[in-house]
Amino acid sequence: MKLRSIFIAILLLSAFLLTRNTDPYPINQGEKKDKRTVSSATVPDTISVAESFLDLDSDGKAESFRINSYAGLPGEERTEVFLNDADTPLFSLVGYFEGFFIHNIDYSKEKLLEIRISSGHSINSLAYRYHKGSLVRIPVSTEKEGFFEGVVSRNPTDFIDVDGDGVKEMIVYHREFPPDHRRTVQVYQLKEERFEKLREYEEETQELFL
Amino acid sequence: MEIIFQDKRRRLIRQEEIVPFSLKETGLYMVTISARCKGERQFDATDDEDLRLEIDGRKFPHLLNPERHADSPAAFSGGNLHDLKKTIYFLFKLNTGKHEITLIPDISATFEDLTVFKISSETALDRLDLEIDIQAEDRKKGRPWITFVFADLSLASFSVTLTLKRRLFDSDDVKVVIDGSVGRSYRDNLRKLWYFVTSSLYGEKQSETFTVNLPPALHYLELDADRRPALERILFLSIRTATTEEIKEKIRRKARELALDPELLVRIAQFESSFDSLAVSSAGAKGIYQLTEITVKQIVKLGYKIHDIFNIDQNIAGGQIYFRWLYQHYAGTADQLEKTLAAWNWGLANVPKDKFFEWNRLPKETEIFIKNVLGTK
Repeated sequence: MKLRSIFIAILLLSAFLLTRNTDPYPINQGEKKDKRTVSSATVPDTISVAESFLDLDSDGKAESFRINSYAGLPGEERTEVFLNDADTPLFSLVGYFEGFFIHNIDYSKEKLLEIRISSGHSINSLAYRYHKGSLVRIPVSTEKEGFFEGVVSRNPTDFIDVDGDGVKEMIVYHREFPPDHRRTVQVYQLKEERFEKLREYEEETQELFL
Repeated sequence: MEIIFQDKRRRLIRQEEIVPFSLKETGLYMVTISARCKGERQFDATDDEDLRLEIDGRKFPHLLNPERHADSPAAFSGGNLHDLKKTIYFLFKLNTGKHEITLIPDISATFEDLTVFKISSETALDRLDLEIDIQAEDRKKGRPWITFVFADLSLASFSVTLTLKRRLFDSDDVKVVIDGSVGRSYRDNLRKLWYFVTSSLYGEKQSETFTVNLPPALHYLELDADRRPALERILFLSIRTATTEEIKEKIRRKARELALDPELLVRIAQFESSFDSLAVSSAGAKGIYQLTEITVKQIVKLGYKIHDIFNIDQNIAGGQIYFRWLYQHYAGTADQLEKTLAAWNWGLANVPKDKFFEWNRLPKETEIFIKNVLGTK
């Protein structure tokens, strides 16, 4: 009787240990992780993960970079950024993760990391530099500087060398309300620690720009 | 009709395939696709072959159950076809730009051919006369043969001209199904569900006009075949997309149902998409209220599931339910409407409920959007 009780207890304990989920983000069970490439997996309606190894400072050593994002109800969207296998996020952003991009602005060693998050009907593009094991945000100077950072637009940004000087500018597109065959284009240049607006103009578009 | 794109490579499809094409002009287009699917016994399987399509992400499910796709009239189901050829004609408005047709097999399917036709540069057509000349393959049992899919289009009437022949033991018959409702025939009291039956009284060539007056929505016109009837010609009268006024009226009706300001919701739709139900932004926002994938998922949490983001009624309902939720969130605050519109454009988390609304804290684009909608620009 005593032996049977012990045996049942061992069985229950084994079952508990086998089924206990220690991963707070158990979204890749059974899926092979290839850490050499960017991968993203989506749990239905909730968490999105992007994971990659990126040499953000061109020192020959890749930094590990991970994004967790949560949608939830309107207003609950959050994106957490983890660096170098940290257990706690480096920072948290308001919005749902839309993608990240590496830009080599001036073909030097320094790379710029752009993180895009969506909130409401807009995309918020945020730019960062890797510095001493952390990510430092590069603010964008606008008419309303100081109140928010990054670019808020219905459209994703572009990084293009528009003036042929070998340095890429950040191009921001703003649609018309209601949609029309024209849009406002803002050109920002990276000057030391911030993006400053060089110019703004309107242009015609072939497709109805939405 | 101008052929825009054609794929005549007959092949077995085992996994999802994307067929891209581009259009230089907005207008009415027709996509025709023929395919075959086998029943499970025909290839010793435990399930039938099926094939369904998505066009620009748009699905074509059962009208009464949007969760059912494989045996929708706009799909190919091996359990019904038993390796016989079926042809589907999709008619809809498409905008200028890039498009894609996704072929989604279940197990596998035999793709016969696909053609994209331009019907008209206008979004309204008085008559569309198709000399199809297509004969059904032989089987002594009724099964799906041809489907005409009208996606967000209205239709006043259609006329079919068929050839039906008397054959040994069983002759040609055709069933007509309109939006799931079988047309009842007066021609044969014993076979009322078969609208066209072989009869020496009616002759081999038979025609009939069906006055349907279908409003702009998703519609299926099906022809089922028994034995080998031939469809010579089909004539559609008065095809058009939903007009702006019709869409505005749908918006107002839904707004009244949700106790929202009808004209405000009309203005939001106007500034989002100019009432273009097919509008797609460079960021992937779609439809009349420019809903994103994440917003659609959040709307599910609010109690409404959008199956087809380009469906006018679903996009309107989803967008307004989302707006109402935001509006109720700011209830009791000053500048409730301004905060709601700011949250709509920039996200609720960026517009705190308990803080004073400051125009100069808003992104410029959000400020412009709000002022446009409120008419204070």
